[in-house]
Amino acid sequence: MTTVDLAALRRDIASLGERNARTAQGSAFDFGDNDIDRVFREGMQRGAVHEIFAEEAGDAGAATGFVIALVLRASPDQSPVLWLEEDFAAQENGFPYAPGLQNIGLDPQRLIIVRCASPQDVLKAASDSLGIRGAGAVIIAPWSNPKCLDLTASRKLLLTAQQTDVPAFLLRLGAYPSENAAVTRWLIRAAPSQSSGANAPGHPVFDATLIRNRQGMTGHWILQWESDDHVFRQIEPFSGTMVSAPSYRPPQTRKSGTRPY
Amino acid sequence: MVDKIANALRLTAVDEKAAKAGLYKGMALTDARAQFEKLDIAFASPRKDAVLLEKLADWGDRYTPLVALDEPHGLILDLTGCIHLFGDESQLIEDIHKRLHRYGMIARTALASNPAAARALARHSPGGIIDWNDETRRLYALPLISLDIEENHLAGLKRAGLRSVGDIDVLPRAALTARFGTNLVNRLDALFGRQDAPITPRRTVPVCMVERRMAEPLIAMESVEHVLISLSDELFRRLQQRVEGAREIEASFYRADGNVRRINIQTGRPVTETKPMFRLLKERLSTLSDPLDVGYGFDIIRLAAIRVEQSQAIQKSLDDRAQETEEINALVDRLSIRLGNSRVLRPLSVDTHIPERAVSLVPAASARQDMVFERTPEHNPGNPPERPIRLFQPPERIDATFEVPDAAPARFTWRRVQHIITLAEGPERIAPEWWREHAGALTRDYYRLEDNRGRRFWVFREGLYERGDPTPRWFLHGIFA
Repeated sequence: MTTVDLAALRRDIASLGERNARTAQGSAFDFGDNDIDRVFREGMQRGAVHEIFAEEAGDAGAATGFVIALVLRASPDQSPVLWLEEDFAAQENGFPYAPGLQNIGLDPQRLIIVRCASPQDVLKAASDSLGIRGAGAVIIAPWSNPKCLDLTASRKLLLTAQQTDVPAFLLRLGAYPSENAAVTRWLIRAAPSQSSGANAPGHPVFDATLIRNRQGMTGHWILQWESDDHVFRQIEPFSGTMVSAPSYRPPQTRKSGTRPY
Repeated sequence: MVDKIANALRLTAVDEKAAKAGLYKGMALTDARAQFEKLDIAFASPRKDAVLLEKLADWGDRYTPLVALDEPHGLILDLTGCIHLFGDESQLIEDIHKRLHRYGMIARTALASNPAAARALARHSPGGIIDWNDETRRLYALPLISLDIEENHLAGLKRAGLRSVGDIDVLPRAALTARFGTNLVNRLDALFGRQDAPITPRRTVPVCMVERRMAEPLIAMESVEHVLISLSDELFRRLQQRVEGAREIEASFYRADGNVRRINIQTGRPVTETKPMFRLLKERLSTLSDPLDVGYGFDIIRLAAIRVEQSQAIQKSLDDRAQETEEINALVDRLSIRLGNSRVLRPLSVDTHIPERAVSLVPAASARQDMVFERTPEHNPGNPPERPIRLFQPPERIDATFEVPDAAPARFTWRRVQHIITLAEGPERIAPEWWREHAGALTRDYYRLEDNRGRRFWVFREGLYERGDPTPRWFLHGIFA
């Protein structure tokens, strides 16, 4: 059993967050598709931590692609993209491959790949990378559920990201959702593509479930990524729950384990 | 000290007592044993001698950056312009002797106007500081052996009744060259400084160097840091006058007991300020596998710019963009130092069709800023991706079943999961580069596949089907978004 007074800690952190949410007038980014953007009225917070899970081991490609697409939406300019990946995550799911990234729209010249031997290295590099204003986006990819990626660590990342307005994408491979400070949490599955003719696989299609959104509602979409225009396109009508989640819920009322995620 | 020379054990060095007793270098051990039954002998170890000499040369850096090895047992220091740092010549020489004596060593030194003369005078005369006016006289008095010429020439000169350097130097050149070759004349010229004989410093001479000599060795790490900061201020002030920034910096710590530790840092772009440099240095110091040991304290700390590069004149009012680039570069340097250069990488396109070679990941710290990643020729705008976003290295074996032999698989098993293929495109044939591969490399037929759950894969079959390979092997090479 942990001896830390979790409730008190959460209260502290929540108050920190509230203060910050008010002070940091961070920018936002959208999906480039009217249907989703109407739902996501305030857009996705730019200087924040967004968490993207591969639902199953086989969805690592889809989750990675979704993250790259979000990076391109958040930072369409030529700003550098830092990709901090734990060695094991790359060995398990393949190494980032520049020609393929270029195919879906990311200029490899923007890429700085940082290979980390441990989750601690990933987090340390992440807090350094988020701490400066020069980065266009930071992709943080530890493997599985490392102990060090807890509420406090993710909260620190969030605060740093808010201060510098640099988007942080936690790419979670081989992991299951657990309590942390991410602003949005997505479960990504691969979805059948629309064949480009002659029985060939088409453009990337994601089955995206937003399971947590501190800014608003959750939902479920089937999204195609248009690699040339850098926009998402919804290829199935909105099927979200349309239940608006409160942007701030007192954390004390939430008990770990009672929520599905 | 004995060693095996020409199959006989001979004395290679004798100590003071032995020398007094009449033993000499080159004497056979058996002869020596015949005179003295109880002889303490030790086997020579030229390798250890060389290591010691290297260490001493490191130590010699405290006097001048120009230190050359004079193997096997000598060091040549070019003290031009360094003497005033120690007072005068005699104080400097005294300092060398005093310090070496503390380490239990006895040195013979000579300070002369050129390296050859100093070397000869140190080895074959009492040495000391040679007055420039007196140098020719002293050199003339040297025995012939100090010329370092071949044994038979030496014998020849001796037969002719010539005993000292002076005896030869007055002889006509032409005759000497005709009889003993150019070597002898060259040696003479070097000795008298008539020919430039530069020494070869063992370390690159830094472009710019600052140092601090402490009256009392520094033991506290904080004061060491203070010294480093003020040194680096000084270094960058000097570099700034030349509109240069440092790409490689070396910090040298001279411990009072003679040990020298050097820390080297390289940066991705010219550094012109103390703050980023010091941060890198601290990062390096904290990640050393063999930490900096203060021991008895450092008595000299030196900071040298080994490699510099033209830097843009620094303007304080940089626009945001430039400052952001600056911050990214600083971040890359910091991460490279903490995690290692080979872990902070930028992709560079390589002109090849072999997928795993099409990208070369180069250390970001040393990558050129203007590096261009060429557009892959395979991709046409508007088309779905042709290449996966993650590549397995090496490719993973899969079990594939197919309906038509030379076609895409209908299903395959990868990591114990079966994938039923619904969409497929291919083959894209990629032939091995025969000029690079070993003979056994096979042509690959690549397919883009999508399974019934929407997962997209890049697989290939190794070998050509039409060649009749009975059991084609299938691999999964990458996954698509």
